[in-house]
Amino acid sequence: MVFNTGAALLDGIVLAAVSREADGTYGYKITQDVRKAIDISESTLYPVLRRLQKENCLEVYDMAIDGRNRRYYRITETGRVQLALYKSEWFTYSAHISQIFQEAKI
Amino acid sequence: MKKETFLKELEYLLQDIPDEDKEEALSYYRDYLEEAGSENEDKVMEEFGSPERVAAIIRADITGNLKDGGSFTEKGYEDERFKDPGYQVAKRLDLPDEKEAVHENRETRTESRTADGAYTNVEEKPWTSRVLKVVLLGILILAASPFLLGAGGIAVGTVAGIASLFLGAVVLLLVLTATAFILGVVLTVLGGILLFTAPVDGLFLIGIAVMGIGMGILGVVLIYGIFGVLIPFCFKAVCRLFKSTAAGRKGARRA
Repeated sequence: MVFNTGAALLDGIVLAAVSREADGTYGYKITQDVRKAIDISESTLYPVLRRLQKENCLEVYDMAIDGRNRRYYRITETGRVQLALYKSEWFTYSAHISQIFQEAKI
Repeated sequence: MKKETFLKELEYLLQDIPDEDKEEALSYYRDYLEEAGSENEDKVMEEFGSPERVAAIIRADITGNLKDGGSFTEKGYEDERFKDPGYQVAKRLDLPDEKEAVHENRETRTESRTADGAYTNVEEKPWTSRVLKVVLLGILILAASPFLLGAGGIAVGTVAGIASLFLGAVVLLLVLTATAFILGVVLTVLGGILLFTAPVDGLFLIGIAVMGIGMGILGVVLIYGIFGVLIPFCFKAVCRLFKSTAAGRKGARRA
């Protein structure tokens, strides 16, 4: 991938991935979902999730699965507002970029 | 690297951050590896990089280094100021070089993983060295120099005095012996000449000459005694003294 994904876009992608699961989702699954869109390293997401959690965009809760606790992440209301902002910003941004590429003479 | 080893190493590397943060990070990575399943474990850990790298990522986040210009992107942790094209993770002071870190880790830790499998702190090599010892010895000698100069001065002075006295005596003996011989020869020649004109005086002179030659021979014998017997004896005695002290020390060490 020649285009860099900035921190804000990565936040948006993570929030979008988490928001798809109403009951929340866990670190490994979030990483795999995000990896469907962009190529990130396995170890990258922990600080991002942590930051989003500190900014109250995500909340965590533990759920016992197969006899052990699994940490789940769920989007908060703040997170949804943030996600809506990212989403609209992205559509505007990507539409402009797409347009200029479409008009390009190659 | 096994999962448990990886997590233990990570825990070891994070021991200085707050317990809450450490537990959270550790359980995240533990969960992650468990969710990945045993079949993907190795691949995931390979992508994690070394425990040092993961620890550095966790640490960078906690200490707020991200705001300084670094950001997490799809390529991992990147810092505009330290960009290194073609490298997955930006080189930063607090992010150890992946390869180097793994290598170093292998080198230093293998020994510390003892039979009980527990982590003991890496035993450091003794920080002293030959050079350091020499320097310390030099400082010690400098510090003790007032005492050494006092006692040593007296000793050196005494030894030098005795030696010069001895040397003087030897030189005197040499000169006397040579003089006696020369005198003996000269007087013999004079006595031989006088023997024709005044036989009594000639015989007297020849008698004195014989006495002088006799004293010269005595001097030669003495010189031979000094150079041939006394000095070698002194050397041997000194050598024996050194040998015996060395042997004594060896004996003491053995005992």
